[in-house]
Amino acid sequence: MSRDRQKREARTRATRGPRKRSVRYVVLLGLFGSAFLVIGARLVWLQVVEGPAYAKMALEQRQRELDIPPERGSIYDREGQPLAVSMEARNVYAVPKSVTDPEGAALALASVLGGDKESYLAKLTKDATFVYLARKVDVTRAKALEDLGLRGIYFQEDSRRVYPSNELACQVLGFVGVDDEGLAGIEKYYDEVLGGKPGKLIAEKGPGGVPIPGGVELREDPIDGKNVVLSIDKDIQYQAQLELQTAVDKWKAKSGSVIVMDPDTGEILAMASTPVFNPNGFSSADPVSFRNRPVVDTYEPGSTVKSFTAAAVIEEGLFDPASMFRLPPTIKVGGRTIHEAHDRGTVEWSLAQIVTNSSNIGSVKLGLALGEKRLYEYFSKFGLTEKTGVDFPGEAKGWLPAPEKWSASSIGNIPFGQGISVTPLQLARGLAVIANGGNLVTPHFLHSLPDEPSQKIAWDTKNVLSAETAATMREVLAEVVTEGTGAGAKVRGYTVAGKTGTAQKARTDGVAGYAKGKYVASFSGFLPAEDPKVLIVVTIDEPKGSIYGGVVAAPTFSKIASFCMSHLQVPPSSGKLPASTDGSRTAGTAAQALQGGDD
Amino acid sequence: MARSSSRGVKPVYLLLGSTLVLALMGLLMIYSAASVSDYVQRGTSSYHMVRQLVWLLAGGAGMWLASRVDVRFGARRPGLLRDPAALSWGVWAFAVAGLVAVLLFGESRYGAQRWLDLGPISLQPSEFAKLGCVLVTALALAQWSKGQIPSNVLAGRLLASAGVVFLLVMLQPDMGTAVSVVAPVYLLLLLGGVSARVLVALFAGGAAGAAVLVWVASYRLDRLMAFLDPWKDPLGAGFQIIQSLYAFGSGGVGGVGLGLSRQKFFYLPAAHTDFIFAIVGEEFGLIGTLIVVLAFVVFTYAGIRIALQASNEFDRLLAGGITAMIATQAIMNMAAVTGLMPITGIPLPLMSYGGSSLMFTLGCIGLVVGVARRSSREAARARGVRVPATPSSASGAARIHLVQNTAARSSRPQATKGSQGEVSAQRRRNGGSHLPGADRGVSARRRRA
Repeated sequence: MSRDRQKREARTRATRGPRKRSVRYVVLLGLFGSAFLVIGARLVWLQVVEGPAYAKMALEQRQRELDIPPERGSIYDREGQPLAVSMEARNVYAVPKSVTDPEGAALALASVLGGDKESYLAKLTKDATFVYLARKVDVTRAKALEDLGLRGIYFQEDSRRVYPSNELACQVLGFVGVDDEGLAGIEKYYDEVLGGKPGKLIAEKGPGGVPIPGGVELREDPIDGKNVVLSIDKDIQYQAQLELQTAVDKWKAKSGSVIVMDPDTGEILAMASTPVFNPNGFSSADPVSFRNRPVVDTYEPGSTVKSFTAAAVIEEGLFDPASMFRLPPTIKVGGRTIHEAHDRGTVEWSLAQIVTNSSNIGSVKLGLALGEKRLYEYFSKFGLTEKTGVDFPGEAKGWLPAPEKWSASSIGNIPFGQGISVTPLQLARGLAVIANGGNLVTPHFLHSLPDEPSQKIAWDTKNVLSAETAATMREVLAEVVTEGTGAGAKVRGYTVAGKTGTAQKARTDGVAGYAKGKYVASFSGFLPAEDPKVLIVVTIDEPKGSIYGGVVAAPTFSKIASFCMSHLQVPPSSGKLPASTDGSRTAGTAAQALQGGDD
Repeated sequence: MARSSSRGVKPVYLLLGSTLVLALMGLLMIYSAASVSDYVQRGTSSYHMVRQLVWLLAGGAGMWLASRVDVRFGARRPGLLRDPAALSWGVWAFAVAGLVAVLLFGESRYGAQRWLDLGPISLQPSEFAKLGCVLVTALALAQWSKGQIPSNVLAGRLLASAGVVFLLVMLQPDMGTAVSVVAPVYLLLLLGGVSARVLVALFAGGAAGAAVLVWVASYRLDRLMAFLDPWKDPLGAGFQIIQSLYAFGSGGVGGVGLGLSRQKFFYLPAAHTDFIFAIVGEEFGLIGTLIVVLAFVVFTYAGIRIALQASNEFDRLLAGGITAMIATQAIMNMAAVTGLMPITGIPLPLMSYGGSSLMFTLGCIGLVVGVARRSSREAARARGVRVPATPSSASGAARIHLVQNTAARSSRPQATKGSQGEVSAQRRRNGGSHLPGADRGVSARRRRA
């Protein structure tokens, strides 16, 4: 490019100058204007057209739904004494990022809440935004901790289940888990009633769970749980547990159980099992102690069932209590020889004597007279083939096969209670038929729902036995105590009717047959015999020293029954039935029972 | 241009007005956007807002100073402070020294080395580099159009000045800033009269270069892919843009209300810096965002108007270049946060939190104000009115004389209304301007005729 040409060009640029170039400024303004226009249009699209969709996604990303726990209802006994209540408590949690002095905080936590300093330290230094340090701490301790003003440690409202009487009725009440959900017992069975319905809280939170102020919205108030009143009588329950424990200790038994029931209504006044636990600290207890044995454990009832066999024979009009039977020392049924518990010679006994002396051979004779089908039918009527329907979780049913499945020798043992199994509660229910004049009731714990007075609580009951037969059987069973094997069950001033039971335990090691030396001793009875107010079943599992229900279980029955009579202010027996109040005679019959025994 | 100046407000007021609106709105939004993290992390909710306010005041002073820099293009022997060459190359050299220093001892934030820690404040030399390039380019173009330098010298200077800066910024690495350095230079070429053929060729070359740069660095590709489909990786590369879109969407038309943004609760990263526009969108809705866009439109319009009225070619290119630079950044930021282009890390001028950016932007605007001052001074001088070289030292008497003089010559209706015209003149004088633009324009045209 020549120098001249360059100069010419430059001159042209200079002269052509401003006017042409100002057009370019307008062009630039136009470019920017259109860019801003595009952005404006994009904003309209983004904020008006697509806006609601994005707003919804943003809301979903920050909204969390939280449950507001309702207050759990309390459980009371029939007199309004609290058995389980909910108390205010605090959960202690940490936001590890905000903890400034983990060492000091861990030390303070260990000293106030108890526990290991190192485990607190591990939690406080965890790489997390939230960590529980302790749950359901009582309010005073939480307050003490709060007063220390530890940084990064926070408190959350919660409630704590408290069982003020500790071990009292522990297996009946059960317990709740950390989220107040019923895990066992009444707490589990009536969880829906007690638990209420949690409320809902919608909270807006940042990515780290930081609450956004003003972003909290209550959607639903929690519905607090309802109170439950049980038919349990706290005092009777206490007495039952005390006497049971005494007997179990005395006989070095494996376990034991007691049922105290109102035979007319099926209301359970007390239900005790050993071993016990404290539901306030159930997590450290042996789960074996959680078993509410009268409901969940089955056993071979043994001679107690003889009263049902006898009742069936009388109801069918085959015999009456005075009918005489000639009983050989042994009897052969289906190729098996049946013995008495205590060998004797051939005797002539009445039907009543068969029951009072608890004769196996006599019962078999009654069973043979009934036939398999009718025997089964009556056992069914007494509720031995079905669950009782008690309001308690995990009820067991026992075992009584239909007659088609019986072996040839079944009729030789089922009439006196071997080869079948029942729960103590099933037995109590069956015995209640005799006690209450012929009705099969539904045993139950629920007495009333005070928060819902309008709700009608009805329990099934059906008539299965005539009142006459029931009355006759009450007289027979009263004789068991006055003259037979149950003398130890006597209660001063009251006529007691009942039946002893000493059942062998089936082997648990998979081999058919009975475990040698392992028995369940029981006494089942009711009083006053002429108008029974209370029915009590006592079972002692694997007693040592003696195995007989009349020796091991009957005295416990007597003590509990005696307490019930005075506690419930039941007027003493009129003397219509032979009431033995003489102490020396009582001792005598007890001795006789020891000698005679039952099966 | 003269006709347009006869109506409405003087462009310099539009420029200052829109600047003030944007800066104050920015201050408010910074308070709102940063208050949560400030409160959580520092225990006070106004930490960032107070700092920005301090910078705003310092930047205002800087703007005033910059508007007083009396650059005289074409003067035979200007003093050092008035020499455009000294100013341009001085700023450029300072910037290049800063960029080198950043690479040597810079502070690394968010994966790029961009900051120079100078005790109380940290500087981003790339900001000054933008201005340096604009100044050098404007000067070279002005000289070229005057015929003082040939085309090949022009090309050489531009390549050297912009090229060095571009390379240094790319080494940080900061492609967004590099683009915001090159874009105003390119737009200046458009304004400076470079032929369309060359412009098209440069654009094509630039686009190809950008494509190459994207392909060689995986994170740039990630950003590009995230821009094309943010929902492919909603918790990773797409997170920012998705959260930004949530903010805009949540705002709707009317916004959720000042201070009530939810996205600022740690969902939207950099809420008070690069994504402040999204918080505007959430809290003030479409109304708020359109006000911001409108403010930038007014700002750009005013800047171009000032450029068109400039008294010489260098001033014209200076005003045009700085306006283009700020407008480009605003567009890049707003386009990025609304999902129209990949996220580049360019703050929203005047609004985003950041002392370096704010003070620099205000200083640049000061230079544009200086251009406007010189043009009105020249216009007055051209009409034969003697105006002191430094208007700040002009006596009150002289100004009143000037106003009366022009008012008498003016044919505007206000003047004939007597007292009303006097009030109007009084008001203008109190406003600190030398002359009503209308008078100047009208008289200038008459003289030409």
